[in-house]
Amino acid sequence: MKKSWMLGGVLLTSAVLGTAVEVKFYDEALPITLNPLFATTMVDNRAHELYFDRLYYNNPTDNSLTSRLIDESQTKIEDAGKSLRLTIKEGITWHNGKKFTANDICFTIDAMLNIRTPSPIAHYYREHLSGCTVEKSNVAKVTFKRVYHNPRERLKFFVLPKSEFSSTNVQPDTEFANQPVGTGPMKGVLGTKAARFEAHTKTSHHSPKIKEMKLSQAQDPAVQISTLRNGAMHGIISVPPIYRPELQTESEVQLRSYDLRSWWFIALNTDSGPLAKKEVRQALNYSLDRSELREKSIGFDKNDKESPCEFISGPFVQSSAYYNHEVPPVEFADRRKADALLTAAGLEKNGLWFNEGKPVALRIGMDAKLGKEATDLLTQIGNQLQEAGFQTRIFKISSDDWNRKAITGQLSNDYDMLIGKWSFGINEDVNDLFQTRSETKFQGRHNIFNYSNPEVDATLMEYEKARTTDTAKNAYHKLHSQLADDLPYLFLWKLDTKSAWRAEVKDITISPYYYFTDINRWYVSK
Amino acid sequence: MMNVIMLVALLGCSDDSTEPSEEGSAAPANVWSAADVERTWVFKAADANWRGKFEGDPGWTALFNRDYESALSGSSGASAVRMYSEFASVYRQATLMHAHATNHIYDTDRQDEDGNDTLYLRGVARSVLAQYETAKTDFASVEDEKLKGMSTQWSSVLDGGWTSDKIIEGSFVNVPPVKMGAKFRPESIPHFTISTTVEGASSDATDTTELWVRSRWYEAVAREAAKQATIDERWIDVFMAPWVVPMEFDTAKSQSEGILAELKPEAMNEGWLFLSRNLVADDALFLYALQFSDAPSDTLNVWSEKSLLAKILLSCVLPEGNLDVPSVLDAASQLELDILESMKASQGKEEPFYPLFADFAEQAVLIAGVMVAERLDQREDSGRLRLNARDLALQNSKDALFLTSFAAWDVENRYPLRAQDMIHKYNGDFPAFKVAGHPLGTLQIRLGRSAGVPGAAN
Repeated sequence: MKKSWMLGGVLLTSAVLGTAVEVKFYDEALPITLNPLFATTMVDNRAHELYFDRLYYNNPTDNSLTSRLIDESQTKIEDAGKSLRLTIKEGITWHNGKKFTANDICFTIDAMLNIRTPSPIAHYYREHLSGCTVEKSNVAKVTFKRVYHNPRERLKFFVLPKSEFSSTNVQPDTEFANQPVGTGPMKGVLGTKAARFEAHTKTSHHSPKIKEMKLSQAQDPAVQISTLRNGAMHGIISVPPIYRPELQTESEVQLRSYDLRSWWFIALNTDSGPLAKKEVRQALNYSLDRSELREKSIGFDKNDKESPCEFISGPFVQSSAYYNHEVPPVEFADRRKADALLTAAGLEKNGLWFNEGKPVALRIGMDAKLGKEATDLLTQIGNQLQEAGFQTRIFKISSDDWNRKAITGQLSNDYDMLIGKWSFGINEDVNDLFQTRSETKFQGRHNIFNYSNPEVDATLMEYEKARTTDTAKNAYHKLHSQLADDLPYLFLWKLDTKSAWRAEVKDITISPYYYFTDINRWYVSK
Repeated sequence: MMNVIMLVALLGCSDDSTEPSEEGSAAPANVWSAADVERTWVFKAADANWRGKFEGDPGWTALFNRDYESALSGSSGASAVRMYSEFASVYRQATLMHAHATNHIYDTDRQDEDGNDTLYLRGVARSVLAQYETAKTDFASVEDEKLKGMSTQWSSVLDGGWTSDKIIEGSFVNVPPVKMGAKFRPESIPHFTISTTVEGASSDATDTTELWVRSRWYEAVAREAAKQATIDERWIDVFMAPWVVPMEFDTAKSQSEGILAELKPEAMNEGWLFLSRNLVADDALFLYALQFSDAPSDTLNVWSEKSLLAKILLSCVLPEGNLDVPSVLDAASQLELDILESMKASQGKEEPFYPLFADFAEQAVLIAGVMVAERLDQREDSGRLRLNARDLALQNSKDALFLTSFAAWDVENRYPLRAQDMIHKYNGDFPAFKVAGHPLGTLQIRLGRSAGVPGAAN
């Protein structure tokens, strides 16, 4: 909404609220796991920041690489740069009161290096780390596979307590995933309806000003907003865009940028009936009126210079260096183009579109939590495709199923289209989403419908093997172009994430992947 | 009316919210008086007569709506001096951003592919960053004859920094004549390619010089406009001082003493205040003095007598001499509320745009807090205030110049993501931002590919 001091704007209201002891907030869902080796969602990542400490992390404010656990003044580079000798700070304890030692650091590394630990996160660390030895109770020597100019950058994992595990073969479905023991600023448990946190104060390295927190699963967006307004809740991690303009003008609530690079998509099952034909996928692309979808589900205002939603034509946000601006997004439906493509693909129209004598029926699923950000998106997409001549059935997929089945490629027999979103930080590597799945090579781990295209694979390999920055960029520009043509995904939009916190919650600093890392500073003003 | 304002201010002082809280840090009692509030341009903006001085100028209306392109093209007289100064400062900070990104790419994040010709780019960046000795070494190692030639114009800067008689020209820009209304069109990028150490592979490059030349052109037009509007152009120096790049710092500092001695706040055109980061004229001079002060704490003390921002920020300094971020946050939000209430009380009514103006007061405290924190060597604290200023700004008080400087600060910290988003958001208003965006992209790719952490999360 464009505002003018001549034309009018909005009214400021005032309210007085009592001091809250327990800071309560809504997240998109409950965490899937509180074991950080098995984090798959941003909800998991955020919760883990509260329960655990990373060995090293980037300061959310000034990006400096730092550690709450390691005494940097004593860190030594050894073995011609292949090892780091780390000395633990004095007085650090786990939530259970036990002393944090070098055994815990080495246990965590050993667990990640143990190939029987089925952790996707550990896989990344296996590329860099070769081992860890305990030299003293407060000294660990970490060895890398090669010399890195900044080896600490390779040590940003959350540290686990050795005492809570019987072996380095760490499995996801253990009690630890619900009742973790960490060194993080908050301790607590995950229940069926909420996760609770209590300040971890009996240690030298944390002194959170907030004593208690409660994470609840997001309810209906209108309920979230009203409970935030009336002071029953203090924060919402992800505020649906449609509610942002009204919250922005309220003095009791403040919107906070959460600079994730998130983009939304519809994955297409390229092995399913007519969707195996590229022309049919292209026709679906032209059957969607993204402009209308955006307006109806996100509440887009054409005059808003700060629009949270921007169309994309490939697997990157427009501000990324990887985005290929020569590929235009498809903004409006073009029924004539769609019809021509379907006809060329051998489909026939008789009211509905028919393939080999049968009406084309599309089973469309959506990660249920997205419905809270984009109201009715699933229904709107279903309606648009029905109007284009397809039979549709729509399904909401629980967060649990989405994480365990959809992104691991196990819903190929159940759905033709899946609506989801991906979020990125500094690393915008998308190889896992489109590379031919290979369990042995650890490739294509997030390939939703097990898409496989040799040309795309070759481009992804070009990216992976690129020896220059421009070669990597050009490879992804080519990938963008290939995917916009072959369409294993229909690319929708980038959607900014904004949190809302009550004004009395202060000194909030948030950056991608570091939401609660600075929670020690947050405080509630009276 | 005065009594009503006084009451509001007293209520503010005695409000429990300004007392130390159990959970948070100590916030100071309000230090501003009703008279202080009345001095601010924000308070005055409630008065239709005062506001009327600006409402007829489409430049001001466009600036309020944060339509920078229209603000520039629609401005005249004092508003033109201000808009061209804003653009000059924005591009100064874009120059700084480009320089930091380029310096990181070919220094901390240098890769095997980078040949000696990249040292031309780093040499220019280091010149801008006032790292003259290393810049000389870089330029001496450049192999390409054309790039060597392009580096020679920087020699004069490498001896003692930039002065206004040292002309730096862009090799890739068509500079329009220095006159209002002339368009300085963005050039296509990349500016050129340089060879890499990988056989057959070259690399796209953009040169920091273009952004510097562009910024200087806007400044020149601002000075021309000032002459036409009979505005002392030294106010342009005051306005731009917080945003100059390191290579011009010494020159700017050398003239600051004279400027501070001669410029009088009462002579300042209100066009420098309206919709600005300063609340009263003395704030502009305080922040000007702060940039060049060898004893920032003393400067804060001295100016607290006259500058409202200095007065507020001094009250947020802890006994050990550090600026206390929670106190600044509390003071900023309280000042906004107090001014808002005073606006309503003075006019006997509530207009829907009052909160939009009042938000400028909170922004002013936060942005000045950023500058004080930087000068007190509290870099992380300045970042906390930057984040809060960015998040708490309403649409109309969202300040492109501050955000560009935040982006440059981020890039200096090897963090390009927010800066890329900012550049993308403002590329319609400042089309030449794409020049700065180029090295940011390279930095992002290098950092991302070497991050060693997973990409997509769900």
